[in-house]
Amino acid sequence: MNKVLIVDPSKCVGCRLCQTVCSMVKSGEAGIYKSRIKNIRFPDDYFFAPLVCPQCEIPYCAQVCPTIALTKNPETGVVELKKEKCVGCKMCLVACPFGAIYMDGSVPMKCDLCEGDPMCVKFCRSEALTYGEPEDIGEGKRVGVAEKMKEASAAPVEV
Amino acid sequence: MLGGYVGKILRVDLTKEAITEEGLPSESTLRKYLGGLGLGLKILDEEQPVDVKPLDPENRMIFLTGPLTGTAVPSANNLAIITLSNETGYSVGSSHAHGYFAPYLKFAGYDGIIVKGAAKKPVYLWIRGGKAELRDASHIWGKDTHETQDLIKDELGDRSETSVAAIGPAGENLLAGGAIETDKHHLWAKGGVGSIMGSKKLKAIAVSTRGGKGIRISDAEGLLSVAREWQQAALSPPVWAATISGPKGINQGYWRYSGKLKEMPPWFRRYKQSLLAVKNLSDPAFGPVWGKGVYDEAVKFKTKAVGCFSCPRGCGYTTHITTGPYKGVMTTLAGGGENMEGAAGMVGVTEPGTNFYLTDLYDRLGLDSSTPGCAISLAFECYERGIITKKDTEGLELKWGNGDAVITLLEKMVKREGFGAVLADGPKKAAERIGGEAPKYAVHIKGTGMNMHDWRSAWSVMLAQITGGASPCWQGAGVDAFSPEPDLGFPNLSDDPASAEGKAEAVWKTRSKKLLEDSLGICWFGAWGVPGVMDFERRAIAATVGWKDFTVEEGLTLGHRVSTAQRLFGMKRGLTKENDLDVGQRLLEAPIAGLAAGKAFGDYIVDLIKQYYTLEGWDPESGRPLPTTLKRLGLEEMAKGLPAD
Repeated sequence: MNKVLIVDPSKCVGCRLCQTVCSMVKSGEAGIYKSRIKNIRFPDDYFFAPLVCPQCEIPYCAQVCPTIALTKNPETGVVELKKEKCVGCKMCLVACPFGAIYMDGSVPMKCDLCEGDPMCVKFCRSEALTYGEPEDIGEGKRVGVAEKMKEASAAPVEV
Repeated sequence: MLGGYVGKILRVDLTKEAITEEGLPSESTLRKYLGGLGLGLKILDEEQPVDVKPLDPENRMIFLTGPLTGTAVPSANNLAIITLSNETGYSVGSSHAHGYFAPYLKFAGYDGIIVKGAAKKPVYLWIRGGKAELRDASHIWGKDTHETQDLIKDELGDRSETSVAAIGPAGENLLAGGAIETDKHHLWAKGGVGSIMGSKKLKAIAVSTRGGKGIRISDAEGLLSVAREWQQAALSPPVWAATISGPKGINQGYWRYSGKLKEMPPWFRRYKQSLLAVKNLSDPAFGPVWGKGVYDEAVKFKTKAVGCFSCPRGCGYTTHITTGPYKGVMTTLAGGGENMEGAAGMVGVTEPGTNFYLTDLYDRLGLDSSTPGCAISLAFECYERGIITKKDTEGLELKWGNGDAVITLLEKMVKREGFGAVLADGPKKAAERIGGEAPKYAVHIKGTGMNMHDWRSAWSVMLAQITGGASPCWQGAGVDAFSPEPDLGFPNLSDDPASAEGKAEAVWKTRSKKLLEDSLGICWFGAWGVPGVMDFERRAIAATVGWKDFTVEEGLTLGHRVSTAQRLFGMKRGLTKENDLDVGQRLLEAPIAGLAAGKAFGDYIVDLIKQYYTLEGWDPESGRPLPTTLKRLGLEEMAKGLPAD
């Protein structure tokens, strides 16, 4: 399967570098407004959720698009937008269950995985964002739980 | 059009309740001073009459970002507050803090805010999407800094995308050391800025990202490339490597140092051995005892890292205290150990949770812990020596370690009541008010606090605190403590921290780097000791703003320019060499233990100051900038108005 952007909100420290660099690489400006990845913030609870298009296998945005401007690329796995076909109806924004597609002026903007080398992952210091195989999603948690099991079951060792 | 800069300054006249906007100075001025401290000082010097006093309405508070603020370079998050320091009354105050406030201000449409005047009733300022308004703060006046931030965010209906900079009761009551807090962890603690804001009845400034815009970057690809390299390099220096919990992980809290380290790096050994400020600096051997006691317990507390905008380091931390009288309390601190030494170490408090609680209390009051902390620790030493008794302290027992007494004293100081009134204006004034032998024991520089470690064992830092053009703060640290500066020719920590050789030069060089960085709009922790950082800074300026021919030399010259400009600013307001010699006796005497045992900085202070003045291009006797220096740095205009030679 294609590699995907893996998000672990428990590791996010809310530094917003992902947004800053995405915005720069896609639009030339620094900031949170042109970023394809959002950061939903609960600063007083110290919880920050990076939110980005998960490149659905069956994308609702593509299903509702009246001009087939949104399609899942079978080779890269990216749900791509052909701007020249888009009429700006915004139905994709309505359809996406994650709210992960947004307007950029008169056309939508969404994550395109930076042609297989996502910039946000390069800058994330806390490993809240990684780029990997879908089967690796949750691996860190599984190992963490297993390590706790290991500690709990440690039998005394005779020396 | 320049990248990096938004191009607008917000002007707030609190007396007239008027808010206006204006553009930035010319490109040539921006190139000469950049932003932050440099540009703020330039504007303050031009606008503010020399007879204005710190708590007068006419004293401007200039809140300024820098051209790199909000970009992707490490810790691109600094907001400088430039004003006439309330700590000294004659020097510029240069206060810095981080979190999210600075980039949010740029998103909201402004490079900076210039506040002047005083409101009749408490107000707060709200800025978002190119709009600003003053709102009533009468119902918030008196609340601590954390409550204030929460109340304002709830009132504005937005906890998630709003950053609030707030004063607490200390600033409202004009205490020495009054500070401003933002995002719960980060304080503008130097320059007495909280009390200046209190004198203006400005309770807080709230800034939101809603409706805002991004920052134009001249060469985004170039900036991304240098930001990436800079970020990698920022993780390598020993002073930072020790604070990071894993190969890619964010710092898991300052208090994990001793827990996670297999081997103590040299800077940390030196720090724990000799630089911890305890018991009014009367008992240096107690430093390592205090440090070990607090650290060994603190690693068991539940600590989580807290980051700032674009920072790869995350030096902030929440700590749930799990043992002792404050078990269950959550504290929200940041940075290194200064705040804790000022709040608790200096009065010999050993109970670990109490250390965190007291440090957090200073934050909540909106109070720097060094200036008032040194006044309190002076009182403790005087009590221990019998210079004052329970009669003077209204029954309080000021014996080393009595944390409860500190809490009561702070309450009295905020109200300026009883013995609190004696201590409310800094350690030097407190000593004068107590009388007798007390002045011998006051730990102060220019009457005020300093970055609170025991600099008797790190003479370059001592010299830097003494000669710094803003009231004592981190303006050039030399290389005796914490970190070397490879880019300036100092690849290692000094061999002999408590000696005079080479220290003036180390201060002069590291100062020019630091003052440049204070004008860029970035946090020092992204640049201190980072190999290659001078070139990263040059490339970042070029890529962000568009000044492709900006050089490292130009940057360091800017730093020297700001240093001399600070001198001019102070001299116009009465600063003389005598003020540089205004240092508490305790700091000039040889400590009785530690790396500097038997060595007195006081034996070298006159000579070191002379050497430093000479390096800056100032008259070695008076510290007056020479005409050739003024010409070289383009400061002839600013020197007009200097008192006659």
